Amino acid sequence: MSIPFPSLDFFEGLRERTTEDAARFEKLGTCDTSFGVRVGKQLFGVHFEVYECARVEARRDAKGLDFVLTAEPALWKSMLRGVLAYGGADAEHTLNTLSHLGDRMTVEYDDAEGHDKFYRFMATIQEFFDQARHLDVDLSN
Amino acid sequence: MAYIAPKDFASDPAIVQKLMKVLGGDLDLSWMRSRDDAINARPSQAKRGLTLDDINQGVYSPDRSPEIVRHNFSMAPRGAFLPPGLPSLGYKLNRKSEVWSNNAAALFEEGKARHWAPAHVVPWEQLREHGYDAREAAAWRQLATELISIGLVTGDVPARWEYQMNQEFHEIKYLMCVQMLDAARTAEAWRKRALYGDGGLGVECLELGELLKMVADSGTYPCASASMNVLLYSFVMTLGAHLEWAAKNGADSLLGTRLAQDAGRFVAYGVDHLRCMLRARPSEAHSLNGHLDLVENGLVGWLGARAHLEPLVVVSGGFEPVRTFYERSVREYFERCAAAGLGDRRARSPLTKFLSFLA
Amino acid sequence: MSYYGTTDWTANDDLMLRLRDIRKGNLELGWLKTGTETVKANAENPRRGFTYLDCNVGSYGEDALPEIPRGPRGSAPRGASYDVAKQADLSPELNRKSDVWAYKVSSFYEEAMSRQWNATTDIPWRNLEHEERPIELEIAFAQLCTFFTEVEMIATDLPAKWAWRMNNQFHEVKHFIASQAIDEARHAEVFRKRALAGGVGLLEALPQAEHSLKAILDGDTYSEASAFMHLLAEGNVLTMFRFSEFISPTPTDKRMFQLVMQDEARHVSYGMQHLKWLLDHTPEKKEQIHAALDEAEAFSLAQFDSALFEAMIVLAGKGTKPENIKKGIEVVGTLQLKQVQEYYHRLNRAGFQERISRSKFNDMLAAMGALTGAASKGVN
Repeated sequence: MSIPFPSLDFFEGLRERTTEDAARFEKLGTCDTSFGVRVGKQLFGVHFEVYECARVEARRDAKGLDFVLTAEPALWKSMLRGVLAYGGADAEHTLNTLSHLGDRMTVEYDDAEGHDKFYRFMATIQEFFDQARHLDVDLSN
Repeated sequence: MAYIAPKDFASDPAIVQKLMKVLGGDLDLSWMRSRDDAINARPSQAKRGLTLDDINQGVYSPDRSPEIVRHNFSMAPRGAFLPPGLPSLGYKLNRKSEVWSNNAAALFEEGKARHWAPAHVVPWEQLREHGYDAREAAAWRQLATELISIGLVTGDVPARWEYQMNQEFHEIKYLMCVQMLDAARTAEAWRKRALYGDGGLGVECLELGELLKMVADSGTYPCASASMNVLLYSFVMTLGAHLEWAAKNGADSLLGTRLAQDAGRFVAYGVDHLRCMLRARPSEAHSLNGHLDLVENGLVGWLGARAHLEPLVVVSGGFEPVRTFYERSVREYFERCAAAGLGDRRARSPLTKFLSFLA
Repeated sequence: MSYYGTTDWTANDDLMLRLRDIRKGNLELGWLKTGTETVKANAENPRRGFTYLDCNVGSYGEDALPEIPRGPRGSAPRGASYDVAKQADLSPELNRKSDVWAYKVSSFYEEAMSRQWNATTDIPWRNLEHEERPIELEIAFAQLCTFFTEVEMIATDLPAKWAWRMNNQFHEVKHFIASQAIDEARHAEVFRKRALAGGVGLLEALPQAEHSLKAILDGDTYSEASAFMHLLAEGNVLTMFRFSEFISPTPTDKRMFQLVMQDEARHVSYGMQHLKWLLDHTPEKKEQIHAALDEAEAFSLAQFDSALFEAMIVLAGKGTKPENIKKGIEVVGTLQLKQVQEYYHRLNRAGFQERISRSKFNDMLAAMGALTGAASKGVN
């Protein structure tokens, strides 16, 4: 059965992938950060511990998160279409490319060190989203 | 010591004017030129990836580096265009034969490919049932304490020389960074080994401290390399192999193996470094041999120190395995010296006399 | 310079007698009476393994390390038994904890060990020959890579210059900066490889940047050099890596920048946490850091007219036609604002807010008509 995006089930699916493809995440190294993914008005929390995603949740606010990646649903979907088509984000849709100028995706943060974790764990966070290639994602909503 | 800018750029209107000129769309673009000496840098073996040897071609090859660098004392990379106005960074190692080895690029690649992290590679939980009696367990911790010291100081030695080395020799600088991390990892791994479970550190072996200071205070880089890479690490490498032999659990077995493996790169660089230098300047053998005579005396002090030899005897189950280990280490070290071009050191070395005391 | 010890062992009768004794099995076992503490240290989280945080116990731990560890100057590790009067003095020059320490430094080291990557095999180099890009963009990219190859080695040389001067009581910091040295060597390596694999090669070295590098290397103290290099210079480079990923002409290049970015952010975090530690524990050093950053910021300002700046504009605008240049200038202008903005955020995080009003970047920002919001809450 396909998993709708955005939904908590989608992030649960990605979380499970981090243990199913443990070798890939271990190769990238330890990753300790809690960050948010805001899709329109919905906010999801993603918690990485050691190598894998330990927990995801729907949230009301960003309190305690290192940073929040914020974009409209259409942009997230266009990124995921690229992931599904090419097996990973295409050059126009990497998280850094989307967020760099702050005109399409923003990186919100209160703490400069929390913000720097977006850089410090960039490859792991990108791989987390790229794992959607293994999911049957419904982007029609 | 501080380097002060020739003028206060912050109050220099020319800077802002230049900035505004470019931001106004008036670009110079004189740097946009094609080079007619491009190389085809591709992985020669797909599995190995794109190595330094793959890119060391044409004008970028170290073969083009002169024996004495006179053209560049800045951080500009080898093969880049050097415009006027590049400052000197004050390098003190500007002679290729002082530092070069032909295997450095390959050793750098090997060091990266064989990186390991003690935190999760070592099966630490196996130390809960380590298989030793109380004295043996303490002896392991004592030897671990010494290996921490070795890791700490032998990380300092490449650091002490690396920043003084001309960028023309970047392969050597890269390898010295691998050495710094390898040494840090040695200190880390054996500190964790000593502390794991009901752990603790042992006593400082004073003779080892003396030896390490001799290595650290070597007056020239070639002397430092000879005494650390070839002499000290010959013994560290075989000590790793010996500890693996003596290990009674998977954690110690792995630690011994990895110690020998990482030490092997120090030795390999050191031997080829001396070989390259002595081919270029055979007369240097005299001063290197003189230095080694004295540092080997320091090594004798460590090998015969109670704080080192006794725990080694304890973990080895007696004196005979230690004597065999020492004899092998010394023999192999002499062989390396000969291979490097230092000649036969057996007659002049204090290690020979030391071995006679063991018989 | 030389040191050859206090004893000629070949003429030492004690040694021969001792060896004979040990050979017969007569061990004194003095080393068993260590007088050191026995502690329980275990991996708190088996997935993470046995880390330095797990070793922060009793007299061995970093928490037990005083600001001035009086006595030890040799190779004995922290917590071992040693005799100051007898140990060989390695003449360390950085002997105060606040000279070198940073909050979280053990975590940074463990992270570095865990997140090492390999420029030789982790970049899909073979893809590069199939990824088409216009020659003028490749030339601009080669210039950018030349710059990065040139500047990254300073962050190897500077840690090396100071590592061996640090007291061995501070092994966590020594290890971390060893990890930084190899990180930065890898960066120089990957950018060199990229410039040569792209078919253009290395282009112009940059005299302006070199003066900054010389100033970093010649810093009077480790903390001053760290503030310049970790916080300001590497902070700027980190923002540039992000920019470079954004404008990268190929997926291979994007991968490269994603990987280098991670390392650089770790170094910046260390610098920020070192500055915070320094100011928290030795606030009297504030003026010294101010003076160092006055000079450092001035050096940074001098870099704005380089070939690098133009190469970034060409890359950001994807060409050299007027419309490309116009677009490139907009993007690069944003980058420069962001560099200053993030620098100010980091100063804030390090507890050095007062630096912002004194910063030499303010005049430049004012000239660019863009001072507004530079120190505001972060959103980018």
